[in-house]
Amino acid sequence: METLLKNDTFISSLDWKRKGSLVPVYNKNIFTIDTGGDHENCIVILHGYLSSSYDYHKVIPELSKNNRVIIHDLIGFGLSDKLENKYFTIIDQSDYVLELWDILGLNNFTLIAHNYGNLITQEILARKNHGTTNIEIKNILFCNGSVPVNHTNYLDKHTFYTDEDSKKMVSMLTSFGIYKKIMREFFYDESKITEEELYEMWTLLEYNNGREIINFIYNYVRERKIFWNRWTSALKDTTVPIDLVWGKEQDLTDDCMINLKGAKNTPYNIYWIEKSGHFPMLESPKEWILFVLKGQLINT
Amino acid sequence: MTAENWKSSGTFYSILNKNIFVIDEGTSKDVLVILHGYPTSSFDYIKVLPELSKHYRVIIHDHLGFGFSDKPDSFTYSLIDQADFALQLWHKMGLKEVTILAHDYGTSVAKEILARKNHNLIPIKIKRIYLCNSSMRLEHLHLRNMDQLLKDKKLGRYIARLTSNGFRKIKNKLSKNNLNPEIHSEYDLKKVWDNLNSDEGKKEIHLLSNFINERYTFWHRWTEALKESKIPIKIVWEKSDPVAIKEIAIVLATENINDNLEWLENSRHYSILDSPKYWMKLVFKINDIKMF
Repeated sequence: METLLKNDTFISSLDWKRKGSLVPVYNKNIFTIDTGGDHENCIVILHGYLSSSYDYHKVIPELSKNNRVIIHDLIGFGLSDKLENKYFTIIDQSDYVLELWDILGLNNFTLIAHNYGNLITQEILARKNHGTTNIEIKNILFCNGSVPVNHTNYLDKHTFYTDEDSKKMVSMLTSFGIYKKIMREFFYDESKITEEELYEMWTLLEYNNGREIINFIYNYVRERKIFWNRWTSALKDTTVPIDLVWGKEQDLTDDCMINLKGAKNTPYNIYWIEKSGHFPMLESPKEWILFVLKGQLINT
Repeated sequence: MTAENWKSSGTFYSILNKNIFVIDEGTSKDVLVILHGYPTSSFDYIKVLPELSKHYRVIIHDHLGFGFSDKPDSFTYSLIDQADFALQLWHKMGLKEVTILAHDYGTSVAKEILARKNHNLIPIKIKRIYLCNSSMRLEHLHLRNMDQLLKDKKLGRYIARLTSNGFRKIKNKLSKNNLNPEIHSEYDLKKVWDNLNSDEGKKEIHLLSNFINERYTFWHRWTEALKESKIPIKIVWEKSDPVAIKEIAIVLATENINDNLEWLENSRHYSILDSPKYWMKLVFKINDIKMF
């Protein structure tokens, strides 16, 4: 765990690229890191919006000591293929994710999801509940991120948050200067993320013209409304154990929690990470790992 | 035949804890599954069923929220959900290989199923797909404006309540627009409208009409599905259909048109309700029908 101290863990995006390989899925190449090979327990990670697998560079070395860890860059992000000028939805992402897992022969694993990845996870749960996929998931850990907004409860407050969110995201893409400023706002302690890390994240975002086409993925906000019932029912009806690992210092958390509490039948644990913002895996990697392993242990 | 007779000629399947109304006619090994249009039900097919069931085992279900199937309890059911329900129903009925026939709303469900088939995510074999624009010209006679209103987040729920006179309007429009007057008695429009009204169907219609948003959201997914299809697809379309024409023009404008796509222009506006005989000739090449 000592290696988790700042600067020791820094890795450039070029070195990051060497850690994984491109897996062809349908007509696209997906950058996939598959590490910690021969362990029986398996952890699969879905990253968030405007991010990439690089978010997890501080935690993967530790996790892979006792687990096979698989993480890939979602289509349109990081080192995976970016898009042509076409809309790409959560439903499309889920198709690619399921096919990738099938190609890698993954089944019965711990799934960790963050932000945009939470929505993909919910879509996959919906398909599981509806009997249209055979994938087995041992347990799920949701990190900070949005749970679908109830459109019948669509108050000014929610509209405000969504508007603020989209404004932030659009302006984030204009230049590195604004990107790093807004990214730092997502952290409780800004000093936890270094300039060089932010620069590598920006590089991955820009890779292969990614910044140009990112708006074609943003319609997930619309999908969140369309699939409100589908996705909250998915959480309600699933038999897969769900826990939350949550950075405590974040807006919108209340909203997400209310939705989840209302939706989930079976008891679940919430692991709060104090003094941590939207990216607990970057801001408080030690605590994050502890909770993830705890969640995995409880459910096996 | 009245709507009640129709009900007794079908059965109910429980799919994901919801009752789905299913018509299953014919003994052929060739299975034709039908995905009906918006905002009607399996009842649309009453005139073509006797002849179709000689050539196929015909299976029609009412989508969730339509006809005799359960009405959703104030929730939005998406086209993606409808695709899941259809797949689960066909699975439960033990169907291994099917031909799909779909009308307007149903074509979106069919395209979602095709997208998953192209992505190799579902086991069912699909022999051929027929996509038709509207089951009746109702949609662009009356409901096109209606959709716009119902789609409106705030207005929608009130509009739905206000349209108790909607039935009269539809009837008037149908008679004004050169449609066979017989259909009023035979099709039993009133029953269909009552159905829409029943089980708080009226309240929910604005939630179901959310599909217009989905058509935009999944535009690329579904046109891609058509372009990549390895399954032969016949698209029956009307040049004068103001809804479908844009969609078709865009697909036609793209460079590499899939060899599996066949375009059939329905220039005489044949439909399953007012000209079933000609419609079947056009779509299924079924000739020499003595129907009436």
